Amino acid sequence: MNGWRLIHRSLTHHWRIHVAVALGVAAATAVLTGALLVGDSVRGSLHRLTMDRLGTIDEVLVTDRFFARQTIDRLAESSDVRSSYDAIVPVILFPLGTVEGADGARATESLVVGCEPEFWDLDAVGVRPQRMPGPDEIVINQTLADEWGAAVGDLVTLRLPKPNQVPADSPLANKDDRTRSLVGLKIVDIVPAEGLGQFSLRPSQKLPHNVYVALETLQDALDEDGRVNAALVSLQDEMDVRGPRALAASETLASSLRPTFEDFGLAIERITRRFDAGSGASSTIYDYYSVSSDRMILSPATAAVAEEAFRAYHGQPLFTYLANSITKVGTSGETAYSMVTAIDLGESFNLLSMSGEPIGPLADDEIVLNSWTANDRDAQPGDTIRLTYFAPETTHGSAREESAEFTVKAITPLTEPDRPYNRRREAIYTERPMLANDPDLTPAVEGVTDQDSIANWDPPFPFDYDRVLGKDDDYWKNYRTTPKAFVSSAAGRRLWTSRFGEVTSFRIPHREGLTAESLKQTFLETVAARQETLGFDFIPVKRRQLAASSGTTPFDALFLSLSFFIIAAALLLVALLFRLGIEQRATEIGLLLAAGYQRRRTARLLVAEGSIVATAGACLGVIAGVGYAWLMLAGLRTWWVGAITTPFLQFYLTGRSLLIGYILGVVISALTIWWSVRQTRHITVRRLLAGQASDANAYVYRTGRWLFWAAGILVVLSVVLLVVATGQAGMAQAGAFVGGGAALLTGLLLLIWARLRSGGRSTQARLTGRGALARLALRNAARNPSRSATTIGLMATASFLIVAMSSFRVAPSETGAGGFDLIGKSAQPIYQDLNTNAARLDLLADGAEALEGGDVFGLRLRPGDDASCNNLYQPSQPQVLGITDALIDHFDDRQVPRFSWTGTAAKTMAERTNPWRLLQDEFADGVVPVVIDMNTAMYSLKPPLTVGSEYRATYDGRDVRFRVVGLLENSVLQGSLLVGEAAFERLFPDISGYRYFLIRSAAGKQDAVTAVLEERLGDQGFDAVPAARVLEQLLAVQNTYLSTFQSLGALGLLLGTFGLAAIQLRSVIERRGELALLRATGFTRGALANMVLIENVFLLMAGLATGVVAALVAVLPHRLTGTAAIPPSLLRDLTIMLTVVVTVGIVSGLASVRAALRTPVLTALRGD
Amino acid sequence: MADLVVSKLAKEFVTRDEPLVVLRDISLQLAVGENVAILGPSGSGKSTLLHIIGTLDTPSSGSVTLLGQDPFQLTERQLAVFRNQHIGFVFQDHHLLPQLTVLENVLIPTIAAGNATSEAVARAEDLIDRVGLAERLDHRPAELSGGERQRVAVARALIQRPALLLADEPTGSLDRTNAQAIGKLLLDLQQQEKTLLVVVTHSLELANLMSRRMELDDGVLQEVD
Repeated sequence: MNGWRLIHRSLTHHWRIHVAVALGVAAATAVLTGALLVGDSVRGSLHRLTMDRLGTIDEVLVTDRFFARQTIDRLAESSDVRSSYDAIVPVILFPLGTVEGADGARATESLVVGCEPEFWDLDAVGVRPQRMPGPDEIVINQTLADEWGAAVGDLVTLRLPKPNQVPADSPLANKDDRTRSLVGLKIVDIVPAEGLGQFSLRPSQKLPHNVYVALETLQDALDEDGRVNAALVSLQDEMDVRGPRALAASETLASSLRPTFEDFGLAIERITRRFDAGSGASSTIYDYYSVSSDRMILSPATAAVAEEAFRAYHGQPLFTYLANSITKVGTSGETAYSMVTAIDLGESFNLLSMSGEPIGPLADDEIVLNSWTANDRDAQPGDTIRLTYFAPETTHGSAREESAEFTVKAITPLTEPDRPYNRRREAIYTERPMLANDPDLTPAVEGVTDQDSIANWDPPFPFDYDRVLGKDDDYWKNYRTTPKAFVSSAAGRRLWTSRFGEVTSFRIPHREGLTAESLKQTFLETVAARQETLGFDFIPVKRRQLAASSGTTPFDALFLSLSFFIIAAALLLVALLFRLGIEQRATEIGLLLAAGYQRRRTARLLVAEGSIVATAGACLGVIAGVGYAWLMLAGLRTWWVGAITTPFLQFYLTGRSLLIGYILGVVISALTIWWSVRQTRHITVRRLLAGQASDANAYVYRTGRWLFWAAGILVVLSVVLLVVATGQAGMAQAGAFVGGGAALLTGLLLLIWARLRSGGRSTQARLTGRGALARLALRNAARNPSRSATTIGLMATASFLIVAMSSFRVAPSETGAGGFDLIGKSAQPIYQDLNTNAARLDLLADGAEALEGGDVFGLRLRPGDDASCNNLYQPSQPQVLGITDALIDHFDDRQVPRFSWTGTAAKTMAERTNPWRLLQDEFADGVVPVVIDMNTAMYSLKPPLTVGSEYRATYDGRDVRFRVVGLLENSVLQGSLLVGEAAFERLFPDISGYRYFLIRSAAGKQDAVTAVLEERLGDQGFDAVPAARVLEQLLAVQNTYLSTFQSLGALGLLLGTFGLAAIQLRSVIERRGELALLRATGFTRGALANMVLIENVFLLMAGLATGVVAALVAVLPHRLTGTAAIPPSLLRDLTIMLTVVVTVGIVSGLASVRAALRTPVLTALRGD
Repeated sequence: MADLVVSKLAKEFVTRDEPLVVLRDISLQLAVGENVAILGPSGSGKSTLLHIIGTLDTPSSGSVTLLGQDPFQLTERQLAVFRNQHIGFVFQDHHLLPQLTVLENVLIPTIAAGNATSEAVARAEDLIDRVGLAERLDHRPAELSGGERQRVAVARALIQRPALLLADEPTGSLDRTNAQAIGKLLLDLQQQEKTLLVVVTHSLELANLMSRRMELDDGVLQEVD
C-alpha cells in the first residue's frame, strides 16, 4: 500500500463527493474556457467578416481624382506585378453616395461601386448578381433592400460628388453644382449581404449599404470616359497577405504603378505667340510650356515636385488671382474684376517698361501695371495702388474681401489687337504684341475664362455686374484673361497662398530640343526619384483590416471579468465541497495522523487526490466551456446585441484557448483545494478522530464591541459619501453612490457579524411561545458566526454588485448632446453657414422658417474609422471632426447647455469656462490639440488616452500627432477626434465644406427641422437623427455590458446558492450529534427539516436583503436625481432574478435538510 | 404493577455470516421510584438495551411497555411525541447546542412539544437551580465545565417530567469528583421527580448508588447483589 494506492482507494470510495467537486471544477473551467472562446469567436468572426467582404481583394488603389484606366492595364501587364498578383481590376468607388428610393427613402454614405463583371470574380464566397447592371440599371445589396423594402424593378436615384473640381473652399470654386444625379436607375438584382455584397473599405462590423453600377454608366454620367478612380488588387492565391512575400510584393506593386502626367490632373501646353510684321520675318513674343492643374491650383506636393523637375529648365511658378478691384489710392473709380499675376520678373519673364527697359525684380510692395490699366487708373510709377480681392479661403462658403497696397514700379506696355478674340480664334495683332499680352498666364475657371463677354460670366463668387463698365468688357474682348498687373511671387504667396496651394501654373521657356513630352517625363522621373505618390497610394486594405480585427476590446478578458462571480462561486463551491469531503473523512484523516503520517504528507495526499479530481473535472469543464461560449454568443446575438451592434458573431474555437482554459481550470481548482486542505491544519488529531473537522474556537462567543463601532463609522461614511454624490455628476456621481452603498453594505455585514458573534445573550425568553422552532433555527445560524457571516457576506456582495451596477447605467442626457437635439450628416459637403438667414433662405427657401429660433453648427469632417464603442474593429484612422470657432464661441455663453467633461488641460479661466478654447491652441512641437470622448479614449484607441496623452495616426500618408486636451463624458461625439477648424484645414487641405451638423431646434420644431433639412438638402444627402437616439445607441454598449454583468453575476449568485447549500450540509454534518439529540428529545423529522430549512433561508435572505438594501440606497438617489438610465423593467428583472436565486437556494438547501433527516440517531449520539 | 416492563427482549444484527445476537430474552420490570444500574463489559449490549428501552432502536423480538403503552406500536410521529413526554435521556456526551444558553438548552424538549411557555421556563429555571447552576442561566456550553454541562443535560432530560430517565454512561467523560456528584444528582432528582431511572455504566461506584444492579453478559441480563 503506497500513497498512490491510498489515493486510488480514496477516490473510488468517496466517489460521490469527488463527482460533486469535479462538477464544481468543471463549472469554473467552463467559464474560463468559455470566456476565452468568446474572445476567439469575436476575433474569428471579425477575421471572417474581413475575408468575406474583401474576397480576394488584398490592396486597393483609391485616389481623389480620376485617371486613365490604361494606367491600371499597364500595371496589370507588368511582369513584376504579374508574378505576385492574380488580378488588378479598375473600378470607380464612391464611399459617400446617396441612394434615394422612389418613395423618398434615402440611404446616405452608401458605397457606390462602378464595375465590370470581372469585379465579381474577386468574390470568395460565390456572390454574383444574376444579372449584371446595364445602362440605367443598378444592383443593390440586401442590407439596403431590407432597409427600404426595395424590390427588383424599383427605380432609384443615385447622387454622386462631381470629381476633379476646384476645392470648394476656394472663393473661385463653384459651390452649387457639385453633385451629379443619376435618375431612374432600375434595380435589376439584389445581392445578398455576403461576400462582395458587403464589400467595404472601412473596418466595421456594421453591414454597409452598397450599390453596383456598370462602370461605363458612371463614366458617362461623370464625363469621365475611359477613366476610373480606383483599382482592386488581388494577390496570388498561395500568398499569405501578412507574409513577407506579400509585403515585398506590395512594394513592387507601388513602385510599378506609373501614373501619367495627365493622371495627376496636370496639363502641359506650349504657349507660343509670334508676330509677323508683314515683312515675312516672324518674331517670337513668347514661347513657353505652361503646366497647369485641372483644379486651378497645383497642390503643394505637386508644385514641389514640379518646381524641382522644371528648375533646370528655368521653370517659374506663377500664381494668377482675381482682383475684384484695382484702385489708385487717393482717387475715385476702379478697374473691376482683373487678373493679377504673381511672378518673379527676370530673365525668364522679362517684362519691359514703357521705355523698353527691363523692369527687373519687384519688391514685395511693388506692382507693375499694364498700360491699359495704368491709363484706366491714370497711374504713374510711384503711385499707390490698392488691390482688393477675395481671401483665398472661405469659411462657410462666404467670400471675404481683403486688400493690399502697392507702389507702382513701372508700367508695362500692352498692345491692343486689331481684331479682338472670338469663340473660334484668338485676337489678331497688326502691331507687335508684348510679353504682357498673354492671357494664358491665367488658369481656366469654369464659367469665367470660357466666356466671350463679362456679361456672360457665371462666376462662383459674389459678382456685381453693375461694376463692369464698357471699358472692362472691351478689355475682355481684346485681351481676355490677360493680367492687368504683376506682383512678386513673394507678394502673391503672402496674399493668396491657401491650404490648396500657391501655384496656378508653371511657366517653362521653350528651348531647342525641349518638348512637352520630355517635360512630362522629367516630371514623372522626379516623382519617382522623390518617392512621391501624389495621392496614388495603395491601401493594404486586407492586411489593415485583419490587423484591426484583433478588436478594440479583448473580449476574452472582458468576459472573464463579466463572469467573475461565476468563477468565484464555482471556486467557492469547489472549496466547500472538498472541505465537506474532508469533514466526512475527518476520522480517516485523524487516523492517518495518529498512525504517524505527518500533517504535510497527509495534506499532500489530499491535495493530490483533489488535483486528480480537478484534472478530470477540468476536462468536463472544457467541453462545458464550449457550451458556455455558445450561450454567451447566443446572448450577444440576441439579448446583448447592443454591445456589438450587429448580430454577426459566429462560434470559433482555438486549441490554444481550450488548453489555456483547461490549465487555468486545473491550476486554480488545485490551488483552491490546497487552500481548503490548509484550513484544517490547526484541527487537533483528537477532534479529527472524533469526526470533527472544524476549529473548536468557532463556538466561543465574543461581544466584539469594536465591530459595532466600526460598523457605525462605516454607516456614517456611507451617509457622507451619498451626500457628496448628490453634488457630483456622471461616473463620479455613480462611483460615489456605489462607494456609499459599499460602505453601508460593509457596515451592515459587520453589524450582522457582531450580532452573530455575541450570540444574542439576552435571549432567555426567546425560545418560548409560538415560533420557538423558527427562533431556534435562527439561533443555529449563529452557531458558527464567521461562517454564517461569510455566507451572508458573499450573497450580499453579489446581490449588491448586481443591483448597484444599475446606477452605472447611463441615460442620454442634455449634456451628452451639448444641448443639441439633432445630429445631421450630409453625404456631400454643405458650404454655407446654416446659422445665417441668407444661407437658410438660399438653401431651404421657404423651409427656412422651420429653423427659426434654432442653431445649426456645421463641423468639418474627415471620414475615417468609427472609433466609437459600436465598432469592434481596432480603429487606426479615426474619423476627425473640425470644430469651428463659431461653435466654440457658442459655448462661451454660460446660459447655453454644454457638453460635460471628465477632464481638461484648461489652465486659464477662459479655458476652464469653455474648454473648447483649448482646440484653438497651437503647440510649438506641431502636435494637434484634440478633444475625445472618454469612452473612445479609454476603450477604442490604443493605448488608452488621458488628458495630456499623445495619439498618433497616419492620414493620407502623413503621420499626425494629437495631444488630448479634453475628454468629453458620454457624448454624442463619441468615435471621432475633435480638432480645431484651423488645425483641420492644415491637416486635410483638400477637404472643403461641412458635413457634420449639431442642430438645436426650437421647442416643438424637431420634426419640422428634420423634414426641411432632409428634403431641401436631399441632393447633398442630408440625414438628421435625434441626438438622444444617437446617444442611446452609443451608450447601449456600456449599458448592455452592465446587463451582461448583471446576468452573469446572477448566474454566479445562482451557483453561489449551491455553495450555500454545501455550507449548510457541512453544518448539518458537524451537528449530527445535536440533531440526534433533538430527535431523541422528541423532535419529529418534520420539525427538524423545518428548522434546517429556515436556517438555510435565513442565511440566503439575510445575504440578499443586506446586499439589495445597501444597493438600493446606492441606486435610489441616482434615480431620484434622474441621472441614471434605470429602465422601468429593471425592478421587474431584479425581482425575477432574486426570486430565481431564492428558489434555487431553497431547493438546493433541501440537500442539507435531507442530510439532517438521514442523520443516524444512535451513531451520532454515540459519536461513532 | 410495574411502570416499565421489558419482556423477552432480543436484538440481532445482520452480518455477512450468521446474525449477531446482542440481547437474548431480556426481561425487566421497574415501578415508579425505582432505579437500576446496568453493568457490563464493552460490547455487551448495554447501550443497545438502553436505546431500545428509550425507543431510539427497535427490538428484534420481545416487547417494551412504558406506563402500559407499547411505544413500538406507534407511528413515527406518535413515537416522537411519546419520547418527548415520557422519556428523558442523559448521554455520555452531553450534546448541548453550543449556540444556546443553559436555559435554552434545557428548554429544547419543550420546543419539540410546542409548550415552551413561561411555565416551562419557570420549571427549567427550577431544574437548573436544583442542579446547582442558577447563576449560569445565560451562559453558553463553551463557558461551562464538563460536569456543569452534564448537569444541564440532566436538567434537560427532566424538563418534560418524564416517567423514565435513561442515562447512558453519564459519568463516562467526567473525573471522579464530578462523576460522584452527577450520580448523586441523578438519584436525588429521580427521587424528587418520581421517575424510573435506568443507568448504563461501567462505573461500579455509580452502580452502587442505585437500588438495583443488573449485569448484562453475553446478551443475558442478570440481577447482581
